Amino acid sequence: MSCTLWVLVESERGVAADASLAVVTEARRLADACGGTVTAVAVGEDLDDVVARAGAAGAHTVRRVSGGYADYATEPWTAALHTLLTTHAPTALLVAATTRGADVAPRLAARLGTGLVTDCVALECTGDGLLGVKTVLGGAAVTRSRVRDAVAVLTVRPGVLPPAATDGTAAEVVVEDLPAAPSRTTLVERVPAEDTGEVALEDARIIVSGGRAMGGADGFGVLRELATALGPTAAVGASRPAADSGWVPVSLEIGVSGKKVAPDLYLACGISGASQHLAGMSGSRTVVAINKDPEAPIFGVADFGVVGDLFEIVPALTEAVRAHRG
Amino acid sequence: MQIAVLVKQVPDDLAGARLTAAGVLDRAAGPATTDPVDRNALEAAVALAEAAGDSTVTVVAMGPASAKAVLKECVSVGATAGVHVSDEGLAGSDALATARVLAAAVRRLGPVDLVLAGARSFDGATAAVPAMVAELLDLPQVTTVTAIEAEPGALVCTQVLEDGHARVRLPLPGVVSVDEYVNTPRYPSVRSKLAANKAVFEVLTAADLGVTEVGPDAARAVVVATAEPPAREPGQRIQGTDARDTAEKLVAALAGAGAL
Repeated sequence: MSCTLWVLVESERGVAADASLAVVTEARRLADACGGTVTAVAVGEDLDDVVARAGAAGAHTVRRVSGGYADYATEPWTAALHTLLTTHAPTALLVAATTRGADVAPRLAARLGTGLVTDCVALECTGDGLLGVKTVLGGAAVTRSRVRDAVAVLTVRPGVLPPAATDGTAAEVVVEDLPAAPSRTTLVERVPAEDTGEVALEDARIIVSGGRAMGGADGFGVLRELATALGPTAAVGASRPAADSGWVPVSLEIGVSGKKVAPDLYLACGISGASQHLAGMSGSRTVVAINKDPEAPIFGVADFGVVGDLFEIVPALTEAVRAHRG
Repeated sequence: MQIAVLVKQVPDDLAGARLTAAGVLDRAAGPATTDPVDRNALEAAVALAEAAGDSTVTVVAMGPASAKAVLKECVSVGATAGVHVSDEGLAGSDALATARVLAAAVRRLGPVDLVLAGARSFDGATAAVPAMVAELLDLPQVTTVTAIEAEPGALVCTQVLEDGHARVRLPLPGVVSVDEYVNTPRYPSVRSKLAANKAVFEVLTAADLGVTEVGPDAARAVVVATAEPPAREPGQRIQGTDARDTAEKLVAALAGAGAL
């Protein structure tokens, strides 16, 4: 079936979110397969680079919405998208399930009275239409869902798609003159994360994660050293008990209540493997478990398991990785 | 302050949970409990109510007869009243239909200052219903909140973003969804549990609320297929003579598998 796919490209201060651009590239793959088109919607200010990157990621058209949208707010974004979607009635709007994407998508779907499939790990274009594939019950089941309405809204879990393309041709740009609807909420403060030089969990291809057995904030030092040895695409994550204890920032938690990640390599250190944590890392391609307890559930999902004291194994692994990488 | 809290009954352990062929949670598959994040939403409500004084906290649960246990638990830790929307026709409702029912139930309470909910349920994890309820009630929203500060007539809510955090002022009335980091829920006392056992809840059907489009036939998003995730091959245990030898063998195995 032919489909017109729209993608919300989230940006802040002129910088497009990688997760959104990855959705543009995935939409292009689907559109190429089913004879459709991809339109990116860029909402915000300073959008020149955002527009260029959306085109490079695969959008045929970019609809540029500016004027009163400098700071994200639910209501103006919802109103702008609602106006565009009701005017043009695409097959679907795809949104990266970032904090803000997951904030605006359901409100928009409710305003449209349309179906919503959230946190998809894959999208499929079939004779039944566009399907959203998602894991539910903490990864215990996989569902394929279809939206019955003309404008389906689907959100896509960050990190599950390959990185965005950068070699697409320039998109046709349509400037939308939409006065921003008033917002009842106001942004008091926006605090960027400290630039630690570390790669974000969503973008990391390797994640070294620690659990309760790290014993405290200092324990994470050995994991950071291993991540550093593994190179610039590696990041440190944590299970809920470690984040709950304040040993690492909340933003590093992986699990049902934290980030959902899908790296190429996931090293679970001192993590027992509660279903809540497994739900967050189930998209990992290769899993290594290091744990003292040979019966820990994490070994049930690990491709490689080491039974032992992580404070002996991890430093040795850091040395072995350094030697391997030369 | 009049506060409504949306609460849900979920499987006690996801490891034992399963879906029916229609993609609906099989509630007979195992024991159920109060959604953990809803306990945080209730705690936030009770704390705000205690600080404001002269307040009510009404919990609203949509679910089968067993969901009454959730309402009792909420009363045992500070809720003042509960509404149970219980109707066989609701099984298989999608997020939008669920939000319509909950919004109607909140509207029935009369003017509320705040609707609180967990950001995402333990089982379905759609993270959609609170924002949909906000839209249907025409209230402003802040979702996935990790901290709440009360101001006269407003809340300042902290949200963790992908690259930092934001503090957003929400004028009341409004809708807030919280995550598990927002607070630590209190435990009931034996006395409060016994008192909650005597609580009587209003029980409503979808028809009572005037919501007719519920259940699988009305769902705008439908599950067309369910499957178990692909089974993983049994993993390989790496064992060396000491930590260094083990680490070298692990690196060799990862390199051999193309993972390094």
